[in-house]
Amino acid sequence: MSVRFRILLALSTCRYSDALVDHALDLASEVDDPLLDVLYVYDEPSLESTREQAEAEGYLGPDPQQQVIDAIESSRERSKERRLQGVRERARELGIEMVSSVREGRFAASVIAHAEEHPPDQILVGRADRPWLAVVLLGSEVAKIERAAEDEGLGEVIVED
Amino acid sequence: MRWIGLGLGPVLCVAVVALPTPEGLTVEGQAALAVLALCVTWWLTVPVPLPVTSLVGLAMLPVLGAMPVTKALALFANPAVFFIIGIFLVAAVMFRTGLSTRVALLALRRLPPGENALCVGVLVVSCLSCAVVVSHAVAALLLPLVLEIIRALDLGLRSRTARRLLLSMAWGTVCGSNLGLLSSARASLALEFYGAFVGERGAAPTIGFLEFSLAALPIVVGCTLITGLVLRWAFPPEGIDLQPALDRLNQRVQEQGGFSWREGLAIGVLALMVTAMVVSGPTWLAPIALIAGAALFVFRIIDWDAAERDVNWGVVFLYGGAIAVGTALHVTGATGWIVDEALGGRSPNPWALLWMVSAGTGFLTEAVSNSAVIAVMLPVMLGAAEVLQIRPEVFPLLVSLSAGFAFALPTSTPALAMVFGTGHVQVAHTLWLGMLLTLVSSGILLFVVRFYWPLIGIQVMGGS
Repeated sequence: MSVRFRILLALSTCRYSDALVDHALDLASEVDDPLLDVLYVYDEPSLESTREQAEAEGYLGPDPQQQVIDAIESSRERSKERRLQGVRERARELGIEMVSSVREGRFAASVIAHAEEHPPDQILVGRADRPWLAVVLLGSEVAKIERAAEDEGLGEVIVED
Repeated sequence: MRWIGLGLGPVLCVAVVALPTPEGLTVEGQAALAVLALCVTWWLTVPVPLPVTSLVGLAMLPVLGAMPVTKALALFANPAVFFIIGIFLVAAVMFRTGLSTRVALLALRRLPPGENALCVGVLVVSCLSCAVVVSHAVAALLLPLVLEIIRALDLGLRSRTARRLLLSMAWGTVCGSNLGLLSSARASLALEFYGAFVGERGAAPTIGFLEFSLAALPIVVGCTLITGLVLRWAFPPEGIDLQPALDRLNQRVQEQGGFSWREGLAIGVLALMVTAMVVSGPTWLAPIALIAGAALFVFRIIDWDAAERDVNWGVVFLYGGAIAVGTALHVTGATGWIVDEALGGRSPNPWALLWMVSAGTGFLTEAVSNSAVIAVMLPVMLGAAEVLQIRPEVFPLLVSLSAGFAFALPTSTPALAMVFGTGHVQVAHTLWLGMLLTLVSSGILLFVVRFYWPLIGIQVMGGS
């Protein structure tokens, strides 16, 4: 029985580029029996933290809060679907099987948790639209994934700049 | 961070109380500073909701001996709190009747075609809506509308136009939050500190509804203009066909239906309230706001259940407690001691100091609730007014307006938090632009203070 070659393509709200998707599809085309596992992460701030701030500092009651959260949730859902649909269509054209899933929270933690549940052969990630100051203060999410992959044997990490 | 703050606040509070009382500071003043240490730590790290911090501060004033129980608790029932109740009820009515959305829709669909016009329209409508509705509520009302436009245009997460539209809305409300006393709760908080300060000296406050708006207007115009230019420069047009967005706006107008009697009554009550606030003195603002609030229920424009669901009434506790803590600093002489220690007999250039206060307040409010910033900064600055020979009425205006220059981070204002929540805008898009806008806004403010305020009767130099 052959083992499928699993490529984890990790996208998020602020980590996406056509080059990253191209790279993932190129890799998938080069191997036998590939499975493109696309993970979409809703980056922070979470809906809950946005709701908390609207309540705590905006003094919006439950009804206006809900209106805001519904609008944001719907917008995020549309953006996610738009990106996944784009990858799905291109994968279909190339005859590559694709599965997708969604998580919310820190990018690195989400990717690592997903990789632990569905061990990949390769992990493709992109760099985010984060200012250098944020990277200095908070650390690089990509570096965290690289370290975890090395420590836990989660597959080769490929970073698309 | 929250857990650190939770422990650090009480530790700092106890440390300040336990230290030997410095020369020139009363024991009551030391106790008030200890309460301040606790409140600032908790306002900054938010281990408990902001209103709870204010309530704890209020309770700790008599516990630590800063002032008697009855006096401390009486500070909670100040006119600013009742004024804020009134303006939040007005915001609830605008939300419930859909009046704000109708006005925004009617304005936006009449714009000339083009991305620049649409984005400038969103900026200006967001700003002007704050003239009668609290800015956070304006953001909550307009965000769904802007997201509908983005959806109609099928703009993705990387679209410059989507970012520009969302930031036009958020920064428009940031600029508009300085338009007047109905635009934000912080302005009435600042005027309350000022009123108590001059009242102690047997004088009446000279800044009311009209004076505040007149003083703020050129700053709002200047900031909105600069914001529009910065957005145009940072996010140039993409050449998008706007017809789908215009179709969607027209469809929304149709869905809203005809003008309702509730909307008409709401306009009537609002117009009467604003007129009464303009013609009456600063002392009458709170009773007028309460009467207008009551009228909204009398005319069945809103019912109590809806008012409870539309406003988070924790705002009353936050502002009541913050005013009590800030006033205690002044009454116990703690602010005078801080000023003496900070200045050490020196007389800094007043204009350099005003600019530092303005820019400092603007940057501080990026991370801390602006009511907390005002509660800490304003009593100290009012205490310094006499030493610096600056008129006391300058500081409530300066600090309140500067606390509105929060353009950079999602923590700065709920409007920006909402925009960041959509995923279209990242910190990288607002950090440097926002800091630039804060600095430029402070510069505009100082220019207006120096050359315009004296023309409308607000003298800057001369002491109280």
